[in-house]
Amino acid sequence: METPKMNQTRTIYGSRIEQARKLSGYTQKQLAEKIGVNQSAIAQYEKGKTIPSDDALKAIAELTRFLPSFFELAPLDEFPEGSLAYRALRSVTAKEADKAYFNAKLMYEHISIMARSFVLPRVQLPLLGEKAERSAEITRASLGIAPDLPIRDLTNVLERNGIVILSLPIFLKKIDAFSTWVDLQGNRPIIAESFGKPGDRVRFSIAHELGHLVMHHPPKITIKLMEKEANNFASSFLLPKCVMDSELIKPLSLYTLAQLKIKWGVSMQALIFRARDLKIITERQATYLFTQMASHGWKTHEPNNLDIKIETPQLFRKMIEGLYDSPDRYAADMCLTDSRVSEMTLFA
Amino acid sequence: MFEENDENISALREEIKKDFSPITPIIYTVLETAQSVVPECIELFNERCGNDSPDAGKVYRLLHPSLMRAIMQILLNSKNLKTKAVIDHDNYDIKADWERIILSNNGLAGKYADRNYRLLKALRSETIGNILPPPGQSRKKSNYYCNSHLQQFRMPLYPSEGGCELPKHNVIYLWDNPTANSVSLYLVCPKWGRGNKAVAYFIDPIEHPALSIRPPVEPDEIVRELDLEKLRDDINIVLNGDTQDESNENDLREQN
Repeated sequence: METPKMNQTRTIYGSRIEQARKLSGYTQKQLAEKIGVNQSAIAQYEKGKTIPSDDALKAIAELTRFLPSFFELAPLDEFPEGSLAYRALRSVTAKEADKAYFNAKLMYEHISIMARSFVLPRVQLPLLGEKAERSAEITRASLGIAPDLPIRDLTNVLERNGIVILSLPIFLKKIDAFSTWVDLQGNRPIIAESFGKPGDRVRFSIAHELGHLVMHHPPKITIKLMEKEANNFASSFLLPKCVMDSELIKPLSLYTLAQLKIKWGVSMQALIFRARDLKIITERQATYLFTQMASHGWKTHEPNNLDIKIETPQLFRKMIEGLYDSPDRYAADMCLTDSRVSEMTLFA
Repeated sequence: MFEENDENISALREEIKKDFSPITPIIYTVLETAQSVVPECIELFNERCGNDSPDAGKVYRLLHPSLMRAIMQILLNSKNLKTKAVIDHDNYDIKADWERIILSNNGLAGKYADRNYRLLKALRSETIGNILPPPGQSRKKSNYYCNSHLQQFRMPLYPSEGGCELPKHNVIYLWDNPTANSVSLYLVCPKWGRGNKAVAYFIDPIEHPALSIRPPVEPDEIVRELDLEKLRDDINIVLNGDTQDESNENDLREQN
């Protein structure tokens, strides 16, 4: 537990300063320059060795869009970084990972405070040691999803089964989502997703993280294998084997893939990979379909008319609505500025 | 004399597009699939025959159009669109030994919505207006291209009411593969053609059918609300500790 630095009037937690800085995307040097102190001063504040002056604290608060009282809130004990630890494989910068982690941590903190006033849905997620294909089948059954039907609102299904989905109010270039298990009314899975990604990609990322939650808690294999397994899980979970033979009918064309994208809510590219993995098409045919997609410019951006609706989680919004009559009260309680509240609740 | 104007052509274009709208995506898909299968067939042929010489490219060029046609025919048949390969003997009726003639571009022929249609390989050209292959020596193809006399039936003198159906124009689907990995398809209504000249009422590029797919409209879609059972109404109790007992005591004191 962190020991706060105190003077006669205030208790300041250095980790709060670090949290505010990192979720706002500043380095220590950048923050120091903005508020007119040197970098070592910021380092000292964050380690709790010195307390910032009133002016410095006010400047930090303004810049990071928190109320000065935020730095007096005792921080949350633990928020495990979970699958964010696998970022090395995706060459994610530390700055971006920090932004993702601290934004998720802040939202989780609010949820954990508000959750004391609610009974959260019971967690219905199994922990499995099976292969990805089998794990996906069992998970579908555990979550009450038919084995052979498309999942229409994945986010809603997961929330109803006790998984907390956080829609982070930030665009993360190389992180689509990450997941972790936390202690919230018992052991509870959390998935945090980045804003601004296409609907089908978000669904696949959520399913990928679901794979990590189900199969890699605790991690048993190398990061590379875990990532591969989670991809296979996502693919099997969203596109079940038992029905793909009759859906991915040969000869597979871009037109068929476009129709299936709308039906199953996954990208055309994910469908090609699935068809190849199930040996419905050969490696060469898959390559050819990818080349055809590239010739239309659809490898980087699939046609707009096929856009999959972006799913929105409800838990965070419902908690705020259930407890507060206005966003101002929520902002005051959580020591946030209005602009940060608008940002945090925009996608909730 | 029948007057050809934009309005007439526009009506004809819309009518043909509408008539063929159910099969245009099929033809596009079949073309795209054939184009993906043909290189595989030729690669397989070269592999089996150990043909890794520079001449392998010749095989590709020789076989490509015929294989495309054959595979397209098989795929169309599997979609219940029966077509037949056009064998035009007029092509070989060469009178002069050294005369340069334009051979007619044979393709597939079918019938849909009481209209004849043909699938032909387009000519390579910078302008769309020049991609319709002329009929060459083929009288059959000249006849097929000749739609001009039919336009007069679209005049008010020949109202469609009264039990007699308007004669239908022949149609051509022109296909091309501008690059090894892409295809183009055009819907064409020829006007006339003879020798090395061919004129069309319109040549319209067809967009990829995937771009016309619209997600189903579900007006009655209900977002399933998440049920959250509430324990306490006042967040301050949570934030500032449970003061329930104290407030009860205060209430009691006030009542007394």
